[in-house]
Amino acid sequence: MKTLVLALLTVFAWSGLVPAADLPSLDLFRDKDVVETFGAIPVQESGRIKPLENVASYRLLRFRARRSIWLTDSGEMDGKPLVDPATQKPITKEGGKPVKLGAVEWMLMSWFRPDIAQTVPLFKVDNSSAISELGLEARAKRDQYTFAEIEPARQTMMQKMGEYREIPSRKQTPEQRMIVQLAANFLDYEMITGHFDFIRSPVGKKPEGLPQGVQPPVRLSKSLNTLVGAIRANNGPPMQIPWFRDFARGALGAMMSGNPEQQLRIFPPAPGQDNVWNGPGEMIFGAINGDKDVEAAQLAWLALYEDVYLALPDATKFKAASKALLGKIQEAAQLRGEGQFIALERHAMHADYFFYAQWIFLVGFIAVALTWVSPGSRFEKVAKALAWLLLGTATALAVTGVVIRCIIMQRPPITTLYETILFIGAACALFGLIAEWITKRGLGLLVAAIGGTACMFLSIQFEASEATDTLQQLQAVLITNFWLSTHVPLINLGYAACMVAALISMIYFVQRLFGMFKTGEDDARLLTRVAYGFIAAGLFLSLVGTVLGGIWANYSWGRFWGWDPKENGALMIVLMCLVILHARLGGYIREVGLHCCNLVLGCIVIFSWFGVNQLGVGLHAYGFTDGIWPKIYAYWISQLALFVYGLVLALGERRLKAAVQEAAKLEPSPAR
Amino acid sequence: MPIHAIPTVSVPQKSPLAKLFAFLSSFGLATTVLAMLLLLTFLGTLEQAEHGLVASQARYFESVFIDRIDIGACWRALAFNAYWDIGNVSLPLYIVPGGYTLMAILFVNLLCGGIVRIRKSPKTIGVIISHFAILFMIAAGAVSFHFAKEGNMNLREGETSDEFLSFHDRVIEIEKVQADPKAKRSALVIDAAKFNDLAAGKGRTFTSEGLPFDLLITNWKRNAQPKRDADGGRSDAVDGYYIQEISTLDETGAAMADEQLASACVAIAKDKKTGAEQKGILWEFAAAPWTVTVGDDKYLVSLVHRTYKLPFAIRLDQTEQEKHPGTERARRFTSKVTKLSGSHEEMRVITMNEPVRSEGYAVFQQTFDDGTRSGSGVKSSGFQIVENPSDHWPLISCIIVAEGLLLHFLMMLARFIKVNPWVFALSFMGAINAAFALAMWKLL
Repeated sequence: MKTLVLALLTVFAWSGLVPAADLPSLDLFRDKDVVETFGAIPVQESGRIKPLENVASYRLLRFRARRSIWLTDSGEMDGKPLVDPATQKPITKEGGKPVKLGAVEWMLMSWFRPDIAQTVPLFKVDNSSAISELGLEARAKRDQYTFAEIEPARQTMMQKMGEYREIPSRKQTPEQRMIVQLAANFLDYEMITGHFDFIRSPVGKKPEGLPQGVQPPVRLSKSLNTLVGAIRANNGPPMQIPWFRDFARGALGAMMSGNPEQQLRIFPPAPGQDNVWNGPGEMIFGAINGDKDVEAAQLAWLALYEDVYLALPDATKFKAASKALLGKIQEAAQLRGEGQFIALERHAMHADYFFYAQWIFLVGFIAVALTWVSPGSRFEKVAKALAWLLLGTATALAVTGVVIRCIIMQRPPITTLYETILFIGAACALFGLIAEWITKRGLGLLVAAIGGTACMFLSIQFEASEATDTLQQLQAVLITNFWLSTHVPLINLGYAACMVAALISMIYFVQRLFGMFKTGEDDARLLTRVAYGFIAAGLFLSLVGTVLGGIWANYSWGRFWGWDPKENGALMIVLMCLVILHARLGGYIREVGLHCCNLVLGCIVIFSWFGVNQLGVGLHAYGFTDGIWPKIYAYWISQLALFVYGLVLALGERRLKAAVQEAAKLEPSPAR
Repeated sequence: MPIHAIPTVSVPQKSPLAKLFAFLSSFGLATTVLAMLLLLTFLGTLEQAEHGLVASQARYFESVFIDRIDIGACWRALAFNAYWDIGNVSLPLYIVPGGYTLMAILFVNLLCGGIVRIRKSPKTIGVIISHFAILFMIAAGAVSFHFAKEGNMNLREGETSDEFLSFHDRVIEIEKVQADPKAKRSALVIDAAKFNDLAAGKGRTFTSEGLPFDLLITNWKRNAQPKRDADGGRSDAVDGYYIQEISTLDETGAAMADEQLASACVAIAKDKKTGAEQKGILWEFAAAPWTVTVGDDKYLVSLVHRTYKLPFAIRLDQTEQEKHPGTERARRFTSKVTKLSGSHEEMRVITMNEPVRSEGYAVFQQTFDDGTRSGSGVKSSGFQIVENPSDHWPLISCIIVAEGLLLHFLMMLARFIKVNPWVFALSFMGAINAAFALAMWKLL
C-alpha cells in the first residue's frame, strides 16, 4: 500500500477549494471548547495511543521548528496580519493585534480553512539555495515560505526528491537534504489541508458515471461499499473511471500522512479484536485493496466523523458533533483499556516541565553568581537561600517531567538519546545539590545550575531538531523492564557523575584563571576532593552499569561483550576513571594533573554519549543526528584550551618547586 | 698506626626478583596499561566504521601485538575529513602490545599489586574485594575467548537440525566421498588463521597423513567473487576463472558486516605419489564443493564457516512475530521448538530476552523472517547458539565488584562527612541491595 500511496501522492496536485460562502469563521477554531475537544481525541500513531494535540504539535514543530504560529506575513508577532481570503479582512484579535495559533488551532485551521492555511509562512527553510534550486525566488538564507509560494515548484520538487532519495543520507549535500525534507513536509501538509476532501467532495464536483444507487451529494459512510464495488468490477485501469481521481485523492487526504505509521487512526476496534486502530484513509484504501466490504460498525465510525464536518458552518452543531465523536472514541478506547494516560500526557505538554526547569535553572545560576558579590555578608546568605530554592524547584520540575514520561509509557526512564539528556540533566542537578548539602561551600549549587541549564537547553534543542515524538515505542530486544531500569540508569548516572567531575575541573581552571586561589589552598583542595569523589562515584556507576549491560546481553542474546561502539565508549569511561585514580595513588598526578585528567574524562563522556552514535555502526546507534560533530569538536577544543592552561600551570609549579629546592641547597644550614 | 675500619652505610640491595615484583605490582604499570587499553579501545572503535567489527576486534582487542593503525580510517570516522582530507595514512607498529597482551599484563599487575602487595587494613578491604572480582572477570574473558563456541542456526518452520555455523570462523573442509551414504561422515578442517595471510604471491602447503595429497593454498582474498577470464590472458586464472577482489565497504563507505563477506582462495592439490597437480578455486558462496580425484577416491574441498555439532537436535514447530500496532516495528519474536535427544522430545518456547538453556548450550532468538526475505513464503527463525564455560562468571564477578567498590567509596564518603564509616557504608549497602532485590523480584 505504501508504494500505491506514494505513487498517487506524486501524481495528484491539489487544486480547487471550497466556495467561500460555505466556510466557517476562523474564530470557531480558536474557541477554547473546540480546541479542548479536538486536542483530547485519542489517536494511534507510531504504535502508541496519544492525544491529537501531540500529533499536531510535532507536525508543526517539524514544519516550522516551533510549536505555535502567528497569522502574519512573517509568521512572527511583528508581521502584518494576514488577510482572510473569504472576507478580505485582516485576521486580527480585539485591538487589531495579530492572532497566534497553538498547534491544535493550527491543525484545525489547516483542516477546515485550507484557504487561509495556504497563505501562512509555514515551511522553515534553513538553506536558501535549496529554494533557488527549485526555481523559486529565494529570500534570506533562513526564511519561512507559505504553501502557496512552494506550490508552483511542486513538479520539480517531486522529481528531485525521487532522485535525491536514492543517494544515501551520509552522502547527500545540505541542499539535497533540505529539498527531500521540504518535499516530504509539503506533501504531508497537502494531505493535512486536504484531509476533509473525502467528505467535502468525495467524488469531485460534478461526478459522472457514478454507480447505480449513488446520488450526489455522496456520503462515503453510505456509499463506500458501492463505490469500491464499482472499482473492483471495472476491468481496465481504475483511472478510466471518471470520478476515481477525486475519490483516490480524497482517500489520500483522509490518511493525512504519506508515512503509514503516521496516518490518522482514530477509530478503536472492539475489545479483543486486532490491536490496530482504524482510520478514514485506512478504511478507504483497505476497501480498494481488499476484497471484502467494509463492515457496518466501521461505516458507523465514518458517519460520526462526517457529521463533524457536515455540521459546519453552524458552531453549536459543530461543537456537539465533535464532542459526540470524542465521547465515542474515548468510550471505545476505555473498553479496550487503552488511552488512560491521554490526560496526563496533555498535562505534561501544557506544563512543559523541561522548558520551565531550564529558565529556573538559569535564574538559579544568577542567584549563585550573586553570592559571590560580597562574601560573608547577609546578602550572600539571602542569595544562597534563593539559589537553593530555585535550583531545588528546577530539579524537582525536571525529575517530575521524567517521572511523568515513565508513567505515560509504563516503562523505565531512558530508551532514547533524548531521554538520556533529560535524565543526565536531572542527575547532574541532583548530584550538585547533594554535594552542596555535604560541603556547603556554594560549589554544588554552581554545578547544579550549570549542569541543569545546559542539559535542559540541550534537550529542547535536540527535540526541535529531531521534531518527532520523543515518546517512542521500543525495539523488540529492548523490551525488558528489569534491565532497562538497572543497566541504563546506572550507566547514565555514571555519565552524569563523570560530567560533574569534569565540570568541577572546568570551574577549577576558570577560577585559577581569575586568580581566585593557588594550588594547595583550602578552596582548591575542596574542589579537588569533591571532583575526586565524583570520579569514584563515576567509576562505580559506570563499571557496574557497563558490566550489567554485558550480563543483560549475555542472558538475552548470548554474548557478554561485543566491542560495540557504545560498549567501548562506556569501557573508555571506566578505564579513564581507573587511570585517574591509580595515577593519583601512584603520585603521578596531583591537584592540577587531576583536573587536567578530568577534562579528558569529560571529552570521553561526550564522545561516548553523542560521538559513537555518529559512527553509524553497532547495536546502540539509536540516535542519529545530523551536524552533531561540529558541536562535539567545539566542546573538545574548549577543553583542550583549559588543558593547555593546566599544563602551563603544572610546568610553572614544577619550575617553582625546583627553584625552591635549589635555594634550599644554597642556603647554609642553620644546624651547622 | 691503627687501621680504622671505614664505616659503611648499608644500603639494602634489592634482589632482581624483588625489583621485578616491585615493577609488576607498581601503580606506574597499572596506569600505563590502563591508559594503553583506553587508547586501544578508542582506536578500535573508530576503525570499526571502515574495517568492520570483526576485523578491528581481531586487530586491537584480541591481538598479541598491533601491526598497524589506520590513521586515515580513524580520521574519517571522526568526520575530520570534512575539514581536511588526509587520505589513506597508515602507521605501521608491529611491537605495540595488543589487547590480549595488555589484559595479561593487567592480570599479573592486579594480582601482584592489587592483591599481594597492597596494604591490608579495614580501609582497603573494599579495594581488595574489587580487585579480586576484576581478576575473575579477566579470567572469564580469557576462558570465553579460548573455549566458547558461538554461531547461528536458521530453521524454517518444520525443519530440524543439530548443527550450527560459527559467525566468523572460516575453515577449509576436506571430506572423503564415501560409497555408503549412511556411513558416518568425517572431515579434515584447516583453520582460517592458518591461511588468511596468504595474499597473492604467498602460499602454504598443508599435509595430513590420512590424505593421499598435499594441499597448497594461495591467493586468499577476504571478499571476492570468481570472474570469467574472458580473453584468457590472466596468469592467475584457474579453469578459465580468476578471483576478483571486491571492496569490503558498502556504497556509503561504511564497512560491510563480516557475514556479508565471501572470502576466496586458490587451492592446488598435489598427489603425494605421482606429484600430479589439480587446481581449483574455493569460494565461500560456491554452490558446490571442489572435487579432488586421487585414484578411485574422490574428496570434496570447500571454504565454509566452521560447523559445530549440538548434543541434541532442535525442530522449529512454529514462529511468530508481534509488531507495535499500525507499524512495521517488531515488538517480539517467539519460536515454539521441540528439543530432540534420542527418542526423548521436549517442547520449549524461545523468545526475545528469554533463551532456552540445555546441556551447557544456550539458544537465543535472534532473527525472524516471515518468508518474504528468503522468498520461500515459509516463516523462519534465526537462533544464536552459544556454549560458554564461563557463562555465569561475569554475573558473580559483577556482584562482588559492586559490593567491594560500594563498601570502599561509601567508607571514603563517610570519612569525608565524618560519620562512622562501617555503619554508614553497611546501612547504605543494605538499602541498595534491598532495592536491587526488589527490582529483580518485581521486574525480572
